[in-house]
Amino acid sequence: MNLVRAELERLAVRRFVQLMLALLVLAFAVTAVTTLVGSHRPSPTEVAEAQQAAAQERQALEATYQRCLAAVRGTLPPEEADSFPDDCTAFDSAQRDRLPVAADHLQGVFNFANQARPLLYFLILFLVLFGFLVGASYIGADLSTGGVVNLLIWRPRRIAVFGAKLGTLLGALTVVSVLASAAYLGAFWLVGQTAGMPGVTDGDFWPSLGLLWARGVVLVLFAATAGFAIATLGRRTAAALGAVTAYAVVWELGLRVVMEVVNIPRGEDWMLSTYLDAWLTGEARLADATTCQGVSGYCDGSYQLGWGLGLAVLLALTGGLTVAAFAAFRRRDLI
Amino acid sequence: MSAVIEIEGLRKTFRGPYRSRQVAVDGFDLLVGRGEIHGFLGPNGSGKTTTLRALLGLVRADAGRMRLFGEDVPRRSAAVAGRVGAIVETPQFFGNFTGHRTLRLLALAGGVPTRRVDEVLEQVGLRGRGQDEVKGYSLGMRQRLAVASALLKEPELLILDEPANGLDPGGIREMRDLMRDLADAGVTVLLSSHILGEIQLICDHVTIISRGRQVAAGPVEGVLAGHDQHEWRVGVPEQGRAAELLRRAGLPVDEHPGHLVVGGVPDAGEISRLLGEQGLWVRELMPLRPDLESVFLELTGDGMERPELPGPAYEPAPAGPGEGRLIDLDVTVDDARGARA
Repeated sequence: MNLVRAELERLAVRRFVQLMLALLVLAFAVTAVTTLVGSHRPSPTEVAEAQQAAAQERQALEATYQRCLAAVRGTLPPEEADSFPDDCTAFDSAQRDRLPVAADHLQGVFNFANQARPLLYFLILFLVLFGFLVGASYIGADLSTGGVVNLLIWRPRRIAVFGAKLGTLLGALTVVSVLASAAYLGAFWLVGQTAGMPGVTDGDFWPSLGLLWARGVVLVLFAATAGFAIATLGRRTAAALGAVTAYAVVWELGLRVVMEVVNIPRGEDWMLSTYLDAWLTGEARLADATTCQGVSGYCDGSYQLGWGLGLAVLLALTGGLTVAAFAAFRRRDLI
Repeated sequence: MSAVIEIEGLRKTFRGPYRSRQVAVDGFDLLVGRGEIHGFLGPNGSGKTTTLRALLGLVRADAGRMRLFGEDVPRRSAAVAGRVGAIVETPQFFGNFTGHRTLRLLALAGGVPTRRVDEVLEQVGLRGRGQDEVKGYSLGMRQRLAVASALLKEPELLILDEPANGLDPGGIREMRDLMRDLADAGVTVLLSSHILGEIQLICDHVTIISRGRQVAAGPVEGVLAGHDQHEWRVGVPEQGRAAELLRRAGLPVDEHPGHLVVGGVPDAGEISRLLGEQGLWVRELMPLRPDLESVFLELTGDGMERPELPGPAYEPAPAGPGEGRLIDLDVTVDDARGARA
């Protein structure tokens, strides 16, 4: 317990951690203030006009769907019918995730219910970056400056020391993520209440947002663990940054281009970003042009990967890195 | 006297790039008894720091046996860690931490009462700078901080690797006094240093390592005596004639401006008798004893030919029983002692 307390204090007073926290607060403050300044409470006239515009848009969608059905039945002139596919599902309003609403037509009005998910994605992205960098530098700086050696002279139990460091890091990050999320979403909820619109937040809204947040926090912990593990394996913070940069350039960009050039089926399945997307959004919707080769008529070539597979891949990767880091740290000569 | 540190047959090889291998420690032995201030000497790359790191469980030995307080290490390191304070090479600290916070975090991690922090800062002379950030510390102050960290646990064994690094002469003297105080309080000290004069002044025992092997070990006086060439500085009129006379008697003689250096004579009386019989009256006769530096250089393969003049490597030693009778004194016993100090 003393070791965890000491590590927690060491983590909290690190200049890099303090800098990242300051950046976090600054980014949040800038976003919140910009939103507050750029938003206003809509007048009854604005609301009425927006509702009318949304109704017209919904009617237009329905009309398109009906024309598609007519084209399928053959009651539409051929030159017009050619622009519709044989299957009209894509135009069916009932199949859409959401229908146009008045909020879509209110300019300069912040709508919390509409904006909460994008805002949360931004928060998660920042926290993932924060977690990765703090995780990597926390152990990387200790390894390269001899801090770990000092500690091991005091506590010559490598696995316990390493585990305490990782545990402290993950615990602290969880607390920071919870506090940052509450402050961030709370600030925008207040903006929505006072200088915009709260939007429709009943029914599935909060559970859905909560699920996304929980997935995001897990992703932050994965990122921190991966940064910590790679920096341990490479003995310094730069190893983690280098590894991620190299992966992004060589694999996500380079290999993606090669796969597209040689037309490898389901090339996206080889990309880590696919599984990050699947985990965070619940389902990765992907397109594979090779499945439509030789198909006449409409073919969207899409397929989905679920969050379960995303979680399994992320767990396997992070778990593998962590086991390798523990094994290396346990046996390594500290010179 | 019971052993605090026992190392037998320690061997460590580092693997480098392209399957290269470098033997850092090659069957090294070390024995440090309770209450000793034990000097640990060796040239750069001789395996000193590797040995200390292996003893502290920081590097994994390939072979050999190590014990601290009778416990096998690193297997039982955790059991004895609370009794050992150590610094290995110049420790690095986070620059933006204060000295006090640095020690406090170590105390917390090691389960030591944090009141010890102020005590050890006082002990190493950093009390007034404890609240300053470490990045503002000089090298010597960082070294003191490192020693303070080693003292936090009130250790029974203190392992210090180059503790005088970066210290000014005053700091070196304070460090020496501190070690003497610790030794007087019953703390065993293993001191690795390049400052051979310091080792000779402060240590009662010494082990010398070269190319990963022990080349000398024992009480400092014993190690020095083992390398005594029984040499004498002889001042005599008609130096050339005297040299010829002594050579004819089978003694190795080196001629220097104003004096001769004669070796292989345990009893100084032999020299004065040989010269006196020919009417050459000795005006200076002084034993030249090896100091630790000369022994070190000789044993570690960095030894040089005997210097032209008795200098730092060979210095006059005080007269011992049955030797060193000074005739026609140009140099007194006190002078010789002064030169040593």
